Order: sequence, then structure tokens, then C-alpha cells
Amino acid sequence: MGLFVSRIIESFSGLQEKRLLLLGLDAAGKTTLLYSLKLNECVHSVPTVGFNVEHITYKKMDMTMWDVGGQDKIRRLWNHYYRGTDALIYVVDSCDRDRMEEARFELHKILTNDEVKQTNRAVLVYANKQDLPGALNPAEVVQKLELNSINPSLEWYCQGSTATNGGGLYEGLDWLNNTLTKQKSSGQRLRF
Amino acid sequence: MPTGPEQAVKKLSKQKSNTICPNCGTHKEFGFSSVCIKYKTFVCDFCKSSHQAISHRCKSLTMSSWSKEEVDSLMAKNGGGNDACRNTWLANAPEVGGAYRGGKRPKSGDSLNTYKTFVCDAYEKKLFYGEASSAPPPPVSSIPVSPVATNGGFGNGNGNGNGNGGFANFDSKPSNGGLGTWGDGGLTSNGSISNGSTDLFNSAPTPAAPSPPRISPVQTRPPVQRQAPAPAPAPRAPDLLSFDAPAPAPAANYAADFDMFASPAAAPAPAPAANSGFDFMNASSPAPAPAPSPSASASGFDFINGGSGGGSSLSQGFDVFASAPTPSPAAPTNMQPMQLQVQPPKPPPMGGMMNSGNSAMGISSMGMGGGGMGGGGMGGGMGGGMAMGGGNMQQKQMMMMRQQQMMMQQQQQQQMMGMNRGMNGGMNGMNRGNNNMGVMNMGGQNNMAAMSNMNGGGMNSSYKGPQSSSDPFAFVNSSLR
Repeated sequence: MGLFVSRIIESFSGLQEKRLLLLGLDAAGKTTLLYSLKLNECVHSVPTVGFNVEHITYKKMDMTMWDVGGQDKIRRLWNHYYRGTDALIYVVDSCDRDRMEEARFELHKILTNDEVKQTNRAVLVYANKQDLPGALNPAEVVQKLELNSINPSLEWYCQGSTATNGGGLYEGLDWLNNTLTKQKSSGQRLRF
Repeated sequence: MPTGPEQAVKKLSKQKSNTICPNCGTHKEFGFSSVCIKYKTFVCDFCKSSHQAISHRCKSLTMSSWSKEEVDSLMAKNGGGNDACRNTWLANAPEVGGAYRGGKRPKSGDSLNTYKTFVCDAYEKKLFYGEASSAPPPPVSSIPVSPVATNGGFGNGNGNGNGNGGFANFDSKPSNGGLGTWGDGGLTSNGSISNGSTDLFNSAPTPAAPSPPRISPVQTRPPVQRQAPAPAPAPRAPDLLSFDAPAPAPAANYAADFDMFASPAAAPAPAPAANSGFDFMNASSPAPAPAPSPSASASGFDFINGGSGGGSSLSQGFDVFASAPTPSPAAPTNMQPMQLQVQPPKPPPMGGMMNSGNSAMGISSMGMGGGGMGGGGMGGGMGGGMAMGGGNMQQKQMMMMRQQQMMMQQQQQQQMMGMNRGMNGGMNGMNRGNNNMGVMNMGGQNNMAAMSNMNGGGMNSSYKGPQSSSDPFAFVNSSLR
């Protein structure tokens, strides 16, 4: 009942609650990005062991972001976070050309996971570290990650960003917001 | 379940020399938990963050997998380990905590920015590099990826590599101009950041502003307004195609540090040290240098960048890729990466530049986009920052530029076509939306706004832009498809 009421309220207030999963290779900047959004400041992060979760409200979208460590040994834990994800935010270190292939591999692996396919409706790729010289631009990142070859029914967007100063982050969220809202209005009704 | 190599690497981390961080002298009795793969050092958390911030691959001892080869390479006999690093990369560095021109060697307790600056100076600019007799050949700097590096870099061993032209890695030498990047040019809201200080990559001795580079961590959100104090207009070279013109100034060696894209050669600018450099990403402003620039750049150029010439640079939409740094024939650098020029699929009436419009500014996008990197550009000379304000102004200016642009396009078109192939269709979408970029320089110069855009743009899968080949501005797109 409580859930029902909250759904009703949600439908009127327009506030949507989304579960977002923040993934990417280690040192891509996921945690920095998360806290840059949350706190508007650059934190000095250490490698994430386990995960960080934050609630962020942006433009009527109430997001729960799960930031999971990306070190290779703990990547196998990602699949525990897949269930119920509304959108995936994939962070890539645009300067790390050597590991683009690895990033591509991991992304495609995530997207072919059954649980992800069930609920995930959008992929936002942040081509992070655009402030560095030599960074691949978003177009190149798209190419390297082969985003064009992913399931066409999945919406994706690649946004250049600089997590340390917040650059580009909100543009990405705007897209995400629009996309999820649009999808919601077209087709997916409230699920009571 | 540590297996062989993983145990071995832990053991290595506990060796006496490896328990002292090479950069900051921090001592940790039981060894550090991170290894900077590129320089084969065991580093403390702060140094690890600093290395990672500039994309030097770091691995954790506990959370990464290690192969035998990796571990072997860390052994002192194979040229790895902290001692080897201290004898080469940091051979000429001041004592821990000591100051050097342009910064200070961090010691435990200093701010992260101090660390970052130092790491950048030491490893990217090689300010302290010295050849040790037993030292193994230094790794080639990967960031820049340029095959062309030849001159620059490394070869010289002691830090002097000046890259001429090309691309030299981050090399040393105080070049002005070089990259200003890092910092962020952008987004900051008051621009303050973007001034020279930010650019780490720029090398130190910049004539002006000796202030230690800051990385500006915190800058926050997008809407940016920047105003740079603009010392003096930076000299711009008329380079045509390229972005900014790194003018080959006599003294400046531009090193092109990063020029990745830029074509250094473009125009011999009379300007004294050019500062504007390249800013690689436009991001920051390189411009610490107060160089007077007599002539406003030729303007037109930057064309894509939104040039500035006329006084304002808008880098509008072009974002990302858009900016097309077209390779100038002479340019030694390898431009590939950025070559893409993506233009807005449907150019708004005014300048083709605005992508999707006007939105450019409008949308919150500012964030990076415009500002972002663009800002960088500004640094140098920007006079006033307009930040993003209104589309109208920009449009006007755009008009002016438009003609020039048209001409340019013809040229570019040819060049670009080839390059773009291959890009994904998706690209078309880029720019869309957010990009904005508008950086206006009031000062008359432009520093690059070009690439800056990086941030701005994104690509959207869902958007497949209409492309009409007849549209001059669209040409790129069509080739992309």
C-alpha cells in the first residue's frame, strides 16, 4: 500500500526514481565522477573496494548511483549489481588508449548479460578525462567501444567529461533524464 | 589466493627501496599498495592518484591481476623499482619538499594538486630526467601517441628534448604554449582557473605567471562564465587549417607538446612566443604568456573552432570533433585522432557552427563544452569572457566568419574526407545538443577553441542526422556515414 501511494505521488510530482549503475575499468574516474556529481567537488579517491552508493537528485530524477570498483579482480562482482538497473553509466578513461579494447570488451559483456537486458534501457558513456592532452574525443571513443554495434534498441550516448571539474557530467545526465522520461511516457506505464 | 606472481609483487613492494615513494618520499613500512605500471614504481596513494589523473596506468597489488612478466619488469635488475626511477626520471629533482621552478616537490601532507603538478612535470615534461648509467631506456610516453615523436622527446635524455615540431611528447622544455590542458579550462566559472596556472603541461618557465599550476579540482558546474583577466592578447598565427596556431615562435619551441592535432607548422607567426599554443584540448589556457599580439589572428581560421578571429571565438558547436583540425600538409604531427570533423548535421542558418543549435549555449550544456575546453583557449588572451551567453552575439560574429569558413571548407573538405571515413554514423549526432562551446574571446584572439569541445559533444545513437550532401556544412557528416 505504501508503495502504491508513493507511486501515485511519484506520478504526480514527476519525480522518477532511477537506479543507475556506474561501471568502467579501474582508474576511469567512476568514483571521482560520482562525488563530483554529489558534492560538486573533486575528491581524492582511492581504488574502490566494493562499492559506493549515492542518491543524487537532478531535474526531477532521483537517482541512486551504484559505483562499483573496476579493478580487474573485482570486476566479476559487477554482475551482482545488474538486477533492476534502469540505465548504465559507463566511464572510460579517454587517454588510456591501450585499454580501450579492454573497456570495449567489458562493456559488451555487460550489455549482453540477461539481467541487464531485462531492465536496462540506456547506456550513457562518459569519455572521461577530456582535460588531458591526447584524450580521445567522444567520437573516437564511440568507435573504439564499438557502440554502433550494440543492440539498436538500446539508446546510448557518449559524452565527453572531466570528472575532476564536473565538466560534461550534467550534459550526460540531461540526456539520460530525457531519454528515460521519454521512454517512460512512450510505452512504459507506471508499474503498480 | 595469491598466486605466484602476486606473491612476488607483494614481496617486491616490501623491499626497502620500494617502501619509499619516489615522488614524495613518503615511507610506508609494509609497502605501498599501488604500482605505476608505466614507470615501474611503487607509489603512495596520492602519487597514485596523480599518476592516474594523467592516465598513467596504475595497478593495485591486491585488486589487480599480475602476470609474471609484469612482476619481472618491476625488479631492479630489469630496470624497475623505485630506485631506478629516482635515478632517471627524478635524477635532477629537488629534495622532497623542495621547490623548483614552477612548483614544489611534494612531501607527505601536501595537497593533491602539488602532487599532480609534480608528477606531470617530472614524468610528462621530464623536467628532472637524467640519464643514469645503468638506467634502462625510458619508456616511451604513451599519451601522445604519436609516431612522430621523434625529435622530441626522449632522445635527449636530459630533459631537453625539445620537440620540434611534432609532437614530441610531453617533453620538457619550457615551451609556452604547449598544452595547456589539464586544467580544466573550462568550466570554471570564473575563469580563474583557466589561466595559465592550470596548465600543467605547459611548461614551466612561462614568462608570465609563474604561479604553480593548479589543477583545479573543484570546479564545478557548467554554466560557465569565464572571464579571464586577459593580460594581453595572445599572438595568433594565421594558421589556416589548424587550430590554433602554434606559431613557431622562435623561442617557444612549442614543443608542441601536445599538439597532437595541431599543425604546428602552419604559419610562421611573427609573434613572439606564441602562447596560445595549442592547448590541446583547448582546455586550458596555455597562456600564461602575455604576449602581445599585434594582429588578431587571421581569424578565419579556427574555423571550425569557432574561430576567433574576429574577435570572438566561438567555438561553438563544433565540438568535439568538430573542430577540425585539419591536418595541414606540413604538419608533422599526427593528427589523426581528431580529424574528425563532425559538423552539425544541419547547420543552422547562421553559421554553420552552431550545432544544433543554438542550443548551444542554451542548454545547460555549458558545462564543458563550451567552456570547457574552450576556456582554455581563452586563457591567453581572453578578454572578456562572455561565457556563454547569448546566442545572438555569437551569431553575428559567426556571420563574419562565415565567408572565410566557406573557403576553408572547401579545402578542408578535401582533406577531411579521407579521414573521416570510418567514423561511425553515430557521430553525427554529436554535437547535438549540448555542445556549446561558445567561447567568446573578446580579446580578439582566439586561442583555440577548437577542440575543446571535447566535452561538449556527445554522440547520440538515436540521432541520425540528416545529412545533405549539398550542404556545405554537412559534408563531413556525409562522409562519415
